[in-house]
Amino acid sequence: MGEMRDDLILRVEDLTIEFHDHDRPECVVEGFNLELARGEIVGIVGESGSGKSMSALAIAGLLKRHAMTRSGRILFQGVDLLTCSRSQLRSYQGDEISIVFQEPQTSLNPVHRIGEQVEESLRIHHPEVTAQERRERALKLMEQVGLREPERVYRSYPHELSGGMRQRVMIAAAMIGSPQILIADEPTTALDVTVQAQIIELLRNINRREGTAILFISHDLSLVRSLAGRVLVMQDGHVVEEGASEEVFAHPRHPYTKRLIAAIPVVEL
Amino acid sequence: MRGILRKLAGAVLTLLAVTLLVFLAFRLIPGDPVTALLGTEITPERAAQLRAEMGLDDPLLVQYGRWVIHALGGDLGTSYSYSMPVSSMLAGKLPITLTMSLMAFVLSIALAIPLGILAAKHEGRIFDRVLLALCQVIMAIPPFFSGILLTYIFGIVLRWFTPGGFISYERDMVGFLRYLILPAVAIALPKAAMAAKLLRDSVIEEAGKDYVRTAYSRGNATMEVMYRHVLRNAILPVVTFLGMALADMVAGSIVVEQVFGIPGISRILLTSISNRDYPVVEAIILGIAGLVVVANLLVDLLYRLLDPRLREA
Amino acid sequence: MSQFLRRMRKDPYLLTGTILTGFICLLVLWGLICSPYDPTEMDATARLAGASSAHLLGTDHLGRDVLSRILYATRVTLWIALGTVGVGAGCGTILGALTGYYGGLLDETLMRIIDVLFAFPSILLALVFVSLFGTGTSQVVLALGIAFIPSFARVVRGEFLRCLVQPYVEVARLQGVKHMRIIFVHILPNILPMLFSSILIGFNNAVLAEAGLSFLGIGSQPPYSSLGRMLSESQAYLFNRPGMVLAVGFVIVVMNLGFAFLGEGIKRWAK
Repeated sequence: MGEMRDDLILRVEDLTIEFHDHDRPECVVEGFNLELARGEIVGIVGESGSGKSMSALAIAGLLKRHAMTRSGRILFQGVDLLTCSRSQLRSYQGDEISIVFQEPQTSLNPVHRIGEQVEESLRIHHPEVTAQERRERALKLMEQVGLREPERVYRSYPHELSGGMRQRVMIAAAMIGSPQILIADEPTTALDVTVQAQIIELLRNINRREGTAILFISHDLSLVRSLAGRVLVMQDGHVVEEGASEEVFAHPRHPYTKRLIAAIPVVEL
Repeated sequence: MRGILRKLAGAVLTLLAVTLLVFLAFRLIPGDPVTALLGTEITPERAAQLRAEMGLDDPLLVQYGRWVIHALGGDLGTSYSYSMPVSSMLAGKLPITLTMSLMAFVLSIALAIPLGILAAKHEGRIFDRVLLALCQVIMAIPPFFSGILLTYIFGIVLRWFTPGGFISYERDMVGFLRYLILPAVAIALPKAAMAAKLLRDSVIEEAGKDYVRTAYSRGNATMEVMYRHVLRNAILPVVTFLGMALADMVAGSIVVEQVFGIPGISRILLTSISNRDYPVVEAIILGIAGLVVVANLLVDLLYRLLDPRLREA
Repeated sequence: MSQFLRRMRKDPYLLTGTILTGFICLLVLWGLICSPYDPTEMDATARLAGASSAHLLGTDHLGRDVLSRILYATRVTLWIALGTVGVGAGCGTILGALTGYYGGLLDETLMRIIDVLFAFPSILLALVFVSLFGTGTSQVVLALGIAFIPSFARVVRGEFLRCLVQPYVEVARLQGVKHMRIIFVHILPNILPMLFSSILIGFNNAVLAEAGLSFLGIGSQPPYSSLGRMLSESQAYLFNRPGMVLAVGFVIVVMNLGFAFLGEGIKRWAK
């Protein structure tokens, strides 16, 4: 397992995921490979059902362990996340590897205050940090992700915030442990266009300032191009094309990629 | 805060409405308490005199108003058949019925919550299936029948207690409570089964929601996800159910008291109904209506406490 | 019918429900066609007799054949439950449909009252009504039926509110279809599965409530005993003749279980 390059923090080898909850096993991801270097932003593009979200969930350790088989390796700091113990996996979740989901309205717990949810990872992984210190860090982070009046938001409940604010909260909660990897699974799909651009800008800033590597998953090739240096195109569980995003965008080789590009509205961002 | 005040006002109004309905109903039906009271010694003069004494000649609304004002002062009237204050008639009996209902209530919560969570955790597996089937069967057993079964098993076969026996709480508190355990179990069982099933379904539904995935992504262990995140959302429908079940359990205790021969309000209620002893029946109905309203109010407050989305409503 | 059989194979609830309900139907038929004895016939020579070939479940304290009495009481209980649900579902559906459809102040007021009555234990409501109407089988049916109106009215009203915003209702309204026609022809058929399932649940509650009332000596009057009445009578002989109590209780439980499972099965089927 010591074969990882120095600047590589994540390496996925031959990941295959099969569902078994129907009569016939169904392969949703097959032979997925990925290398993510420190501070890099990699995009994964594909339609819904292409397996991009499944791969992301697998890396975040969030696939339910029953009703599906997984093979291959997901190496993080030399540890295979697929086969390591639950407690080892948990020690990374929210601390080293964080994830932001598509639906900010339903991804926050409706009965807990925002502050509590932003701080949660810190409370779990760093019990030595005092409540007072936790609160200060949460407030600071909430300000950094562009939440005005962080004090008020801290005391609010999810239903009192707008969709864009909730997604900022989700990002603050994901960043509180200063993770190595931030997985953003369609983080802007449920938001309107102006908010979308702000969230993309926020992710870019986080990447620059903190050096957090970002795995950005989207069905929108133009979004991925504006953010990610490298892109993987997925179709039906397979990576059909991979390369620097400008290169893939300018000279698509696979017909599916060409179709995706042709489908982008002409108006440029 | 304003929402709570509105609820409170609504509660008082409904209480008035229910008691007014009962009050009117009892006075509109044929049958005259005076006739019953005087029995064979009745003469028209004496009947008229008594009727005037009892205020039965006044308009109904005046009578109702008088009754409400007296009730607020703790005076629930005088029993027609026993010529003694209703409040002192009920004073010795009510604690028994209420203790029993409360024991049943606590018991059903204590059974339902752990079982519901456990079943949800083992969804689809043998424990879950057996428990669900068991819940279905228990829900089909009326409390008075399970009461008889319990009497038979523990009283006649095992001889742990004397069937029909009872110890007054004034004499021996522990003995009193021990005699109430089996009736409380009989009342609690169907409600506990229903609540456990409800909680199980609710936990399973909540566990599939997005925020649960978020909780896992932050490194929560399964137990923490369950107790910190899922349960607080999943308990909401169960709170509603248990709030309604409380009144049902008091009503159920009236039947179960008969099975176990427990001297609660059951006997008084039944004889008063057949004797048309209005003041007693009205007082008991008022008490249970009050309980229903208070339980609803408590459920409402608890709901606001548990679910911030309802607080400003 | 063949659809029902196919569905039954897939759903254990529907299967169990049908079998248990079928068992109750058999009891009724048995009692109707060839009851071993007249349920009121007393045999002074055989009081509280144990099971024998002459009396399969023995006799009660008056020397009446227990089996025949159970067969009869099952019928009484079913009739009372049927009547109760008839009154409750009938009035409740009309009330719920009208208030749900027209809305307004009337709806507001009626629902307020119904909410309170709904929260009120139905057996207690029935007790109040029985004390108004007097004891007796038809009085009990009326009392229980009224006590059951709120739950049906609530269900139907809720379903109506849901249906009112559906496109087919809005189209019918725009086309100027008469209100009554919309209520009974356009909306009502759509809520039938839901209504049917509540009727089965209501049936169960009716059996329970009637048994409770009879147990208190307020329901059906002897010699036309229902199961609840028999249970309270036989409780006195729990020590010498536990079998009698068990047999009566068993029938009540099977009846309840059957309807509950059938209701659950149909609800799942409708989905």
